[in-house]
Amino acid sequence: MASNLDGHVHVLPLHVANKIAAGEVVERPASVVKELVENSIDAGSRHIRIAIVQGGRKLVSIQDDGCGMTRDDALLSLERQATSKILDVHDIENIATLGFRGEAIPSIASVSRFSITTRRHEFDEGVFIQVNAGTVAEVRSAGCPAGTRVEVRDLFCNVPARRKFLRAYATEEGHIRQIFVSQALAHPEIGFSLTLDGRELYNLPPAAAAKDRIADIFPQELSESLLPVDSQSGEISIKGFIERPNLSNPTRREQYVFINGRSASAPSVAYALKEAYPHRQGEAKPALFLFIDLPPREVDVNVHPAKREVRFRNNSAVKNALIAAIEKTLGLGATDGGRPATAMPAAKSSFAAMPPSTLAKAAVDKSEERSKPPPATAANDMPAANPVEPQPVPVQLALPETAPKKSSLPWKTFHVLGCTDSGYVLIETEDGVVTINPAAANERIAFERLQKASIPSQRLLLPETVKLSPAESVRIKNSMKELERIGFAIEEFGIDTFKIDAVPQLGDNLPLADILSTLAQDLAASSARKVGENWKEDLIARSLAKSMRKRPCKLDARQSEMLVEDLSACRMPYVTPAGKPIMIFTSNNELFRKFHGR
Amino acid sequence: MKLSITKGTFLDGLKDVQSVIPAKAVNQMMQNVLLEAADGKLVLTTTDLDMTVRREVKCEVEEPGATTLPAKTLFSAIAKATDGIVNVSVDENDIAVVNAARSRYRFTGKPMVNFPRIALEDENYQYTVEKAVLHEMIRKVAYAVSQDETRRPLRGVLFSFKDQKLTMVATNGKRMAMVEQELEFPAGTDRDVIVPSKAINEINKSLEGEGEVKIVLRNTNIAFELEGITIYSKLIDDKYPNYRLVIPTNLPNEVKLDRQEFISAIERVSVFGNDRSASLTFEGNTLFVRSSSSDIGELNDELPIKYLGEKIEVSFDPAYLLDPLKAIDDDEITIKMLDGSTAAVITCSIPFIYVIMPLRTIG
Repeated sequence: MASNLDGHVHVLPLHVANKIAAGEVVERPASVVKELVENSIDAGSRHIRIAIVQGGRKLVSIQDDGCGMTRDDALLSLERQATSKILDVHDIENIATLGFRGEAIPSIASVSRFSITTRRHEFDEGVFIQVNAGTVAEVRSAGCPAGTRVEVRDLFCNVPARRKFLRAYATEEGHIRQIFVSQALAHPEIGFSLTLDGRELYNLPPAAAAKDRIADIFPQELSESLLPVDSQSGEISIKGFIERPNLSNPTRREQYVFINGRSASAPSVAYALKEAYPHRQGEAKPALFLFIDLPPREVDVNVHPAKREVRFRNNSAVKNALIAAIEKTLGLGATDGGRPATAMPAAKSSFAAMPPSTLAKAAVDKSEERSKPPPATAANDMPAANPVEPQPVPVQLALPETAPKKSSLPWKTFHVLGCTDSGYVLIETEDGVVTINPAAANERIAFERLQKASIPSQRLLLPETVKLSPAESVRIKNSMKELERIGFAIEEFGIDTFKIDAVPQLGDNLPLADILSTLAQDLAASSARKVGENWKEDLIARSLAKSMRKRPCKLDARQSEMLVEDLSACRMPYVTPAGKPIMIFTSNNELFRKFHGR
Repeated sequence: MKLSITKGTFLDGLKDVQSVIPAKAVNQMMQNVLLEAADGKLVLTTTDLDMTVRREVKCEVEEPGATTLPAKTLFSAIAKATDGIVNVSVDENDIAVVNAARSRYRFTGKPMVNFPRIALEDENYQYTVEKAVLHEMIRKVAYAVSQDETRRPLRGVLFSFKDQKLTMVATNGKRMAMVEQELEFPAGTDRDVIVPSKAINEINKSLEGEGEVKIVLRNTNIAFELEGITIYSKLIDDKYPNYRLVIPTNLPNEVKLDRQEFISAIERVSVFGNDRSASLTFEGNTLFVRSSSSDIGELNDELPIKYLGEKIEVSFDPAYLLDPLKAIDDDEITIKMLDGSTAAVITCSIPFIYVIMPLRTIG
């Protein structure tokens, strides 16, 4: 659609105004922050400073260095449904900016003592407008930095009923912080600061990538436990980070989903997570940061007045893309289809791959950086030439071309502490203690060996003859080619009887007498997922790996060491192909916290 | 029951029977040790139902009798007791009082009638072997037992008493170890039995030093009688595969090589431990050993051998090569092969044969 949006403010034609569901934009101070920050982002700002006094009741102040407004534009912005972002009803279909309703400023101004100070870059002089409870009290020229500063004082001063519903300062501050964090995550390229009652809570320099922003905001343990998500299916791109499953006890679960740069929730995201992420009943949800990008026409953001919830035109496509993305990250099965090197998830890098010491150092560097003025070049990827025609800002996740192919381990070095009577292997690492379930580890190791094209086939000295049921026999007969490719040599040896002459070299635990029957049963139960050309090989690999699970017996030091070595070589050492946890990591920090109550 | 015994003797006895006690017993009784005092002897017995260990120690019996006491607790109590004489007296309610110097322990026992007993029919076959011989034979084959619980007969070691020879065989279906020893036993007592590997490990512990072992075969169990200690085990009631058929006979290519050097070369293979495959090329008095991992790198090694036959390329699981090499004592070993895709045989100067199947790389 040819857009002739020129950044100036227009009054929406009435039919457009009607198409947009009118809603309550201003619920609480946090919604003021959200609306104003979105405006600042849409104005192409590089730095946004937010100051809050008394949970926002007394003052919400937002200062940006965006494009600013002319005197006329500023006055017009106070009119209802004045927006710089859509001209016509058709534009709603292609909303790429964050705000668009033209409701925010007039709504806020009508319930507060509101002032706006703004100057466009190309002008020498700015304008100051004071509005008290919806009435313009003062308009004058003002000397001010380029950009816009909005101050909202005494929110709901003329709506006592509303004011009564505001919660304690701390509660309102909590909501504001939540909004702040999600905006800061969605726009790592913009510097953000938040000051509460004169105390600076966050000062986030413009960051190169989302991962840096996450590391700036959240504790190190969280950022260390994240795995990168990077997946594209059709027009849907899913990037971001998700927490390693079941690595430690739930401490803090942060879930942020951004749809086309907009912090939002969608029911299908929760559904996909439930489907794909290994979980137990009642378990805390994993931390995740997902950036879902898809053509604007595929998303309906005009569902909720505060734009919190969105709908997808093609819900199941998004859901499937999400499931695939999560499974790919967690290494659950060969969802990429191929078996050899190409089957490895392309992702990785991220600070999850960075050794913890580097991370700690990076964190120190950053905190030093904070005290310095942010570098001026930091945000030169913004459309500076015509900043009023904002583009959806692609989130840079900094995934390098030469992607290392495996997930990082929570250890660089380890030593085996021993094996418990119940059969779990304990190892000590530089950062804590890891408990490993050898049965689950064997399953993962076997699965990954089978996925490599190079697994040798061990010929049998004593071939095993197996009698199957007629139904099982048919399934095995139909899978002979795949079984051969995976390392079996099997021949029919009479009615429903098969002779196994060679097996994939998986180790001594492979239950030879049962294996064909188990395989046949798993093939029969597989009606659900026949995706990709190698689904059958994938299924056989899963089934074989599963049969390598042995009931726990105590491993000696050497066996434990070999197990951990083999596990270290796996690209997804955390969960079995079925999504069961292999290890539980308890960091020294966590132990300290638990024993010393911090 | 009333007896007195030196602390050291009591402790030795308890130590010998301890290991059989299962960590998690289904039956509370199995946590207990059976004590039977009579004729100047104390007999200690423990069992996990599959295996029973019976140990005799000398003591002074004042009043014969029997009871069962919690084995682990009794063991720790005696281990910590002052050296000297320990007095044990048990009343009709199985309450035991143990006095050691000035310490006085009281244990609540359980009546012996409920202690599980192994079935000892009268009919049996008996064989006698030197301890050291049995120990060596076990060392040469026991590692080859299968870990695969679905192949029941392979979960034990075959003892074949036949033609005045004891033959022991173990296999996991991929490799097989066999050792033979001449043995005198009466005609008509030829028997084949499969002894579970758990029992083999237990017996092996008692085979240090000089002396003889009496092996007693009954219908469903085997007993190894040593001086003062007897180990009973259930047999694996199954048919062992015909191992003789598995040993290839026509193997024209014969290689002689230094055992230690070969071990070192194969151990280096495990640097790339992920792909468990050692590629061997035998050619012109040289063995080339190669191992590679697609992810990490590769290793090339070569060692001098005695071989002038045709070039043979073959791959084996390195663990399957190391096991027998470490169980042999000769400096030089022999490998016999037909080609790179059929069974190879490792032999040495004693009647030991190890058959191993190669690995095959798929397309």
